[in-house]
Amino acid sequence: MNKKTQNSIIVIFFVSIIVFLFTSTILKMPPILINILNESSDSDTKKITQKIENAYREIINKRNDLVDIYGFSQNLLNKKIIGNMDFYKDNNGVMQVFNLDDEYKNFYTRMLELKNTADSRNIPIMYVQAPSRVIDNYTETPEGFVNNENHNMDVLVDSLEKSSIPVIDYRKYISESGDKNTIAPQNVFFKTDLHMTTESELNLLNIVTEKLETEFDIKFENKEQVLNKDNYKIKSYDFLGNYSRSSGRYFTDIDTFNIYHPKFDTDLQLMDENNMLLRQGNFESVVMNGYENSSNINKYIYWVVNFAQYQKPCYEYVNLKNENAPRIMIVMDSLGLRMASYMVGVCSNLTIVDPRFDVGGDCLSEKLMYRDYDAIVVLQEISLKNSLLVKNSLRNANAEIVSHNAPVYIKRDKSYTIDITVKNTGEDTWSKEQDVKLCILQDGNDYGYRININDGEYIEAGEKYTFHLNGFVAPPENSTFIEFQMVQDGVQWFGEKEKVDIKILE
Amino acid sequence: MVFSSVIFIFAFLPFTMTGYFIIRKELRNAFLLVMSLLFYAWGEPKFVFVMIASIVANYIMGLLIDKTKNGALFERRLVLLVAVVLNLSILFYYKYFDFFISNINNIAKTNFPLEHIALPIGISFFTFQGMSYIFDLYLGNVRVQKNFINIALYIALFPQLIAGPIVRYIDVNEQIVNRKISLEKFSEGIKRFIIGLSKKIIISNAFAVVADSAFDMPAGTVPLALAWMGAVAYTFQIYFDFSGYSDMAIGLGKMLGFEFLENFNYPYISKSVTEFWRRWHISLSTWFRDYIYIPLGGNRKGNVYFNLLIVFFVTGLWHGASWNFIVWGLWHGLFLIAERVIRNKNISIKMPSVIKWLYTIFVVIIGWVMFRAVTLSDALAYIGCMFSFGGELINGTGILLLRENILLFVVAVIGCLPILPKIREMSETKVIFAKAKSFASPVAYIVMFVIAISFTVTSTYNPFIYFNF
Repeated sequence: MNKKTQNSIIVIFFVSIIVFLFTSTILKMPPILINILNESSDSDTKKITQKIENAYREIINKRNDLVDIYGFSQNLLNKKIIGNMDFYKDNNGVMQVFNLDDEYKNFYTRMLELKNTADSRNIPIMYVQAPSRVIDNYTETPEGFVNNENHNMDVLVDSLEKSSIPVIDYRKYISESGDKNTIAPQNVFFKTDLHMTTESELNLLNIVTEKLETEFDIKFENKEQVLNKDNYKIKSYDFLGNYSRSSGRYFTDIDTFNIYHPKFDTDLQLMDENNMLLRQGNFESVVMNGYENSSNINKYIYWVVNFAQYQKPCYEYVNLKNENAPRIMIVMDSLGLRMASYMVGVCSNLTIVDPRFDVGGDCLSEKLMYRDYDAIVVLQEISLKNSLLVKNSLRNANAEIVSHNAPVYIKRDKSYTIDITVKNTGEDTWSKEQDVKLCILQDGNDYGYRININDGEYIEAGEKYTFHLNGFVAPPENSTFIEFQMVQDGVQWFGEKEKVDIKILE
Repeated sequence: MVFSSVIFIFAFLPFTMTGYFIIRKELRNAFLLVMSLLFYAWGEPKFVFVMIASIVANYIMGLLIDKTKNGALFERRLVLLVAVVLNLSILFYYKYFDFFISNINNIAKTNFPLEHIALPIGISFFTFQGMSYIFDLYLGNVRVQKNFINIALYIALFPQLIAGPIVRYIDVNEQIVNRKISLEKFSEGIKRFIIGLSKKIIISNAFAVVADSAFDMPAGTVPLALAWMGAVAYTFQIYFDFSGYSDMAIGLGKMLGFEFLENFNYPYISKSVTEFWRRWHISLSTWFRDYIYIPLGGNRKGNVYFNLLIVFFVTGLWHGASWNFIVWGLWHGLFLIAERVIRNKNISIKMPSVIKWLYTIFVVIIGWVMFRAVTLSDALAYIGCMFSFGGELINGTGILLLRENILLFVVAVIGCLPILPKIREMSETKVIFAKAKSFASPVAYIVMFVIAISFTVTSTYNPFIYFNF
């Protein structure tokens, strides 16, 4: 081959590749560009160019093939680490994450807060410890691979048990023994994704329902049908999870994602956080998101979020076939999406709260205050350690209605002011910042009428405070009754409830 | 914009090359200038005006120098002084102002507020290019450039704009007006670009992980072997990073018809610090030699040792407004002066080549520790770890990184040796090698390019070390 031919080959190849990838990628950019420009409220052009650059890198044509080549070359070189110490391929070909050594002290504190609130509502709470990807007697990690998850989980589980919170430690069910409710270590997690396999989550569902029944005397319905794998049609798809998106199909084996379609009849509803009906129908149309209907099924489809409502703070499934079954709340992130999805089948209502998106714990606190649950299940995954938040409830909140001047007879054409003096008989100080209010219920209904504590006033334990209800007028009826009770809004009702019957004089 | 980014390779480059080759020849410089400004503005839009101000200032000062070329010496020197002050003022304000204030505060115990001025990317490079034009013009080496686009293109030309090589005006002034493009040159440019891209993205980035692991440990806690591994890794990282960038710049220049001078010549095979500086960042050494060392008197007038010390003090300062860069420069300067003393006094020290090499690479590695550490005290603590015999030898991270990168270290050592020129030489003299090379060469470049771009799409933002200067 002469020099000119060599040069021509190199020029043709190089120019073809860059021009092909340029022309085939740039066509995808206009809508993305419009999106970036619309979303960019700031005038920092550097951020805008950075966003464009990142987007271009993500959508570059043949990106996945190039990632595969990268992973292949890493494999050839017998490399185990991907990125800047991001992932490590262990002896079983499972992708591991570096530097998981955060402790769960914060999470433990928040669990106690949640338990405190649950206790005040007489709702039992159970904790499920998800396994670490580093599995005892199975995963070999090299020296220098920092991952203290198991140790930190041990500490957490021990602390919770000492605080009288029942715990399911799923790590104890990982075994080759084949005993009931055990799962072989290689089947617990996907190799390429942080989530558990569908089989692993279904196995966990068995354990959770059994434990809830024995621990809290809850009776689920339809268990035999819902928990029996023979009652499902299984569809399998190639799956390359989020831990392998930067190393491709040749660095680790591709996973199989199994989807279990119920063969039995289902009739469900999906309600949003405000209790508005979003969907109604069978399991597929309510719980699943229709990813199988995609015209382009490939290994990059993120099947995990084909279930439930990912990235929503909270939502609720209603099982119309199980009206008398238990009502359960599950607090979790995406790790338990499939477990929760199939759990719908044995409950009457299942509320799912994802604390990562429940800013300030509003949704969790509100649901706990207004809904009756038979149990709360918290499934811990690392992402919850800083996000689980229930509004801080007052410790042993209690109140005594000391006095009030509510009239027993009122005239229809007159307006009344009622003073209610309440004593703080709990442990914590009341204040406006803590949303401590006096609630006025009328005729047994909460119309949302609240009287605040004045700004800057703090009612210590043992102190009294007088609330003033102004402008109270007669309703159209001939009689009414009002009730006073203290409330920590969005968290809990507490203290004495005083009822006053009132007759209306014409 | 970074050469090793997806947006550069698969958007900016094809667009620029297509536009460059389809428009009329006389419009090419204007087109290249527009694209160069876009290239610069992409990374830091507001600072493009700083660069434009620098260009305008140098263009006007160039015209003034030309106007006064037959005038009185005082007048000429005054214009030169104004030009130099203008250039250095921009550089001082953006790069050294806070450093200057913090030193004043430390010395005089004052409390002047710091401005926290953001550093325009590549400011040291484009300022030195502008000054090169002014100096060459003043010295009468080149004619004044009256075409604003041409002078702007010289300073802003995107291949060498933000990390060099620092192209002296005298070396490219003719190419700006008239350059030749050929298939062979274009192909050579592509090959050079692929080599540079591979050096950066495959080798340097991998060493960055090793170096960061060691240097990011708390000061004084790095086990001995890991400290050495980190220092050696950084020695490789900075070479493959910077020489990779220079290769890409030279390659891109060739594709556009330019011929830039080499910036590296296998510096790690040097057997003296003097030789190292003839092989490392050649364009900067040449700039300092021509515009500082020789005007100071070089080795003919004044005190040569003092002149060298000044040059290396400025070399350190050029790299960054921090004492560890200054100490790094002086560290090299002191060894260079020592070597000059030995040579000038005709002291004959016979040593095996390997000892000379060991001495040089030791000085260089220790120097890079000062260069890489965030502060001078961090550098000293790190160097302390490199010699803390008796403590922990290596930790788990060190073993993991060593196992993971052992092959990389071997590849890097080979990459630092002049093996490719030897192969080229052999292929020219032996027919069988020539035949093998004629087939293997295109395949090797194609494979290397595909692998390099596969790394590019997976890696996140990873700027070049020399972007900071």
